[in-house]
Amino acid sequence: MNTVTGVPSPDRSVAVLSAWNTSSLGDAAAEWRLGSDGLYGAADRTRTAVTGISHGDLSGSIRDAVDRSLNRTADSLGRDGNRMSIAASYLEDGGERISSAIRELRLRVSLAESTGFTVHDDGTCVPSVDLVLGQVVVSAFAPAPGHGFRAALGLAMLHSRRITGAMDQVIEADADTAVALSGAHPGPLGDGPTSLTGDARANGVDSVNDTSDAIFEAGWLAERSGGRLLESGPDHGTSGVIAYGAALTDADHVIILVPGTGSDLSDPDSVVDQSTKAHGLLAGATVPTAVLVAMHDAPGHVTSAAGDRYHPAAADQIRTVAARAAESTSPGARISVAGFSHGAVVAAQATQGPGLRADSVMLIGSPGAGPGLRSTDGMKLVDQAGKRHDNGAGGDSRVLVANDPADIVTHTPKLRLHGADPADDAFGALPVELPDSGRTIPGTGPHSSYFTDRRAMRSITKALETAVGN
Amino acid sequence: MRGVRRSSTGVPAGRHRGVLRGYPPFADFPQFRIGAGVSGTRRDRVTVRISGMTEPLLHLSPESLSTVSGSLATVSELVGDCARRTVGVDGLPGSATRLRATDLSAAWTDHVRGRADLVQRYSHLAASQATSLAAEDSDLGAVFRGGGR
Repeated sequence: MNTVTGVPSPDRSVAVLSAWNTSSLGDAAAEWRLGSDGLYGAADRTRTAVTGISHGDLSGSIRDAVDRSLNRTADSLGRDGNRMSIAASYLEDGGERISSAIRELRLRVSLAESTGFTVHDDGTCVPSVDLVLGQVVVSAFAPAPGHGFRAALGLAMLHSRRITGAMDQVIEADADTAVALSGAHPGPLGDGPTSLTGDARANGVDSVNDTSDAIFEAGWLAERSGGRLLESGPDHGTSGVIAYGAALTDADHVIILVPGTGSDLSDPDSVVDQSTKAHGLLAGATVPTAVLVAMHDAPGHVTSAAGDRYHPAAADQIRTVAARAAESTSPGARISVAGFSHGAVVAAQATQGPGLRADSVMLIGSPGAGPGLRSTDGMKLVDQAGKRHDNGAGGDSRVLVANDPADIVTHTPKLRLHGADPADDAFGALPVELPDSGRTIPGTGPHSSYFTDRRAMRSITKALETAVGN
Repeated sequence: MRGVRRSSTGVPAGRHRGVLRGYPPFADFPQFRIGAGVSGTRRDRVTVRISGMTEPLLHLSPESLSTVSGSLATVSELVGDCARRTVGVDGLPGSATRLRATDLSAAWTDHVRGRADLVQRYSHLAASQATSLAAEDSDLGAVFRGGGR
C-alpha cells in the first residue's frame, strides 16, 4: 500500500498502539462537518446580501460590482465548505480504519494472553511458566506432536506473528490517514506539506536537503518534457503534480490527468510517458488549456491493480489535487478530470464521498468504475462554488467514457474485478466517439494508443471541452 | 461652499467632474472618473448620471450599504464560528495522524479566520461609506466638489 517514507513512525509498542483512542477522530470529523455546513450557509447568505435590496436604492455598475464581488466571496466560502467536508471525511475514514486495526490488535493480544502467553511491548510472545509446565505434563501422559515445550514455542511464534502483523496494520492505517490529511490543507497546489519543500517537521526530516535530490531529478525530468513540477506529495516519493500547457491562472480549461498503473514520479520513463499524454491532450485543445498530471500512489503493473487495494488512497490524492488546483484557477475556468486505465477507476472513485471538484469526468480505457459505483448518479461532481453539479444525462452528461472496442482492458469489466462497466448504458455515461482504429481483435495495443492517435486525442479533448461548456 | 447649489445630502447638484472612490469598498470595484451630474432628489439617496446618458449610472443609498454591511457582519460571525470547528485530534499520542491533524487544524483555522476577517472588513467599509454618504459634507460630496473646481 502506501510506503510513507516521509511520515514519522509512532512509538510502535503494543501498550501505546492498543491504548490509542480513536473516538476523537470521529468527534473532530463531526466538528469539521458542522464547520463545512456553516460555510455553505455563510456562502448562501453572502450571495443573497444584495438581492433583497431594491434597485431604487442600489443600482447600476455599483450594484453589479457588489454582486460580482459577493458572489466571488460566496464561491470561495462554498469551496472552503467542500474542502472542509473532504477533511472531515478523511478524519472519519481514518478513524474507522485505525479503530478496526486497533480492535484486531487488541483481539490478538487478548487471545495470546488468555491462552497463557506473555505479550511483550514489541509484539513478541513467550509462553508462561505454567503453560510450559502444563504442556510438559500433558505430553508426558499423552505424547503427541501438538503437545510439549516445542508446541508451546510454536504457538508463541504464531501469536507473535499475528500481533506484530496487527501492529503493522495499525501503523499503516495511521500513516495513510496522515498522508490523506496532508493533502487536505487549505492552500493551493504547491503550498503546504505537499509543496516541493514539504513540511520538514511533519515529514520527520532534518532539512529540505534530505529530499532535494529526488525532487530535483523529478523537476528536471518535468522540465525536459516541457512541464513544471508543482508539488511532490507529502512523502516526496511516487506522487506529485506536473503541469503542462498554459499557466493555471491563464487557463480557461484545466484537465487533470490521472495516469494508470506505473504512475511514479521517481521513474523517468513514467514521467516521460505522462508528458506524451499531456501533450496529446493539449494538441487538441481549442482554448487556453493546462494539463495537470496527477501522479498518485498507483500500482506498479496491471496484475497488482486488481482488487480494491489502491483505490482509497489514490482517490483521496486526486480529490485534494483537484480541490487545490481550483484555488489557483481564474474564476471562470473549467476543470475536467480524465482518468486513464486504472486511473479511470481512481477518478471515478474520487467522485464518491465529499465529491470531486470537476465540471466533467472522463474515463478512458477503463477496466471499471470501482467499488460502490453503479451509475453516474453516485458520482458527485462539485462546481466552482463547492456545490454538487447536476451530472446531466444523455448528450449533456458530465460523465464521459472513451473506449476503443479493440482495447482488451475495456472488456475486463465483465470479470467484475473493478466494479461496474462505465460503458454500460445503465451506467449513464456519455460515450465519446473515437475514430475507428481499424482493429477487430481485442488486444493490448489499442489500450496504449488513446494518447498517441492524434484523431483519438482530438476527439477526447473536444468532448471534454464540450462537456464543460468551453 | 458658497455658490454651489447643494442637494439635501450634501452632494452638490449640477455637473461636476470627480472621482468616486471605493464605492462600494470591494476589491474589484472600479474607480470612477466621470463627468457626472449628481442630483440628490431625496435626502437618503444619491443618483449619479453621466452626461449624455438618459439612464442614471447608479442609485446609491446609505440604507443599501447599511443592509449590505449588516448582512456581511452576520456572515463574518458565521464564518468565525466555522473557524472554531477546525479542531485537531487527541487520544493518539505519537501518531502521524495526530501530528498531521494538528497542522491541518492550525492551517484551516488561520485560513477560515482570514475569510471571516475579509468579510468583516467589507462590512466595516460598507458601514463607514453608508455613514459618510448620509453626512452633510460627505466624502462623496467633497470629492465631487474638489473635482469640480
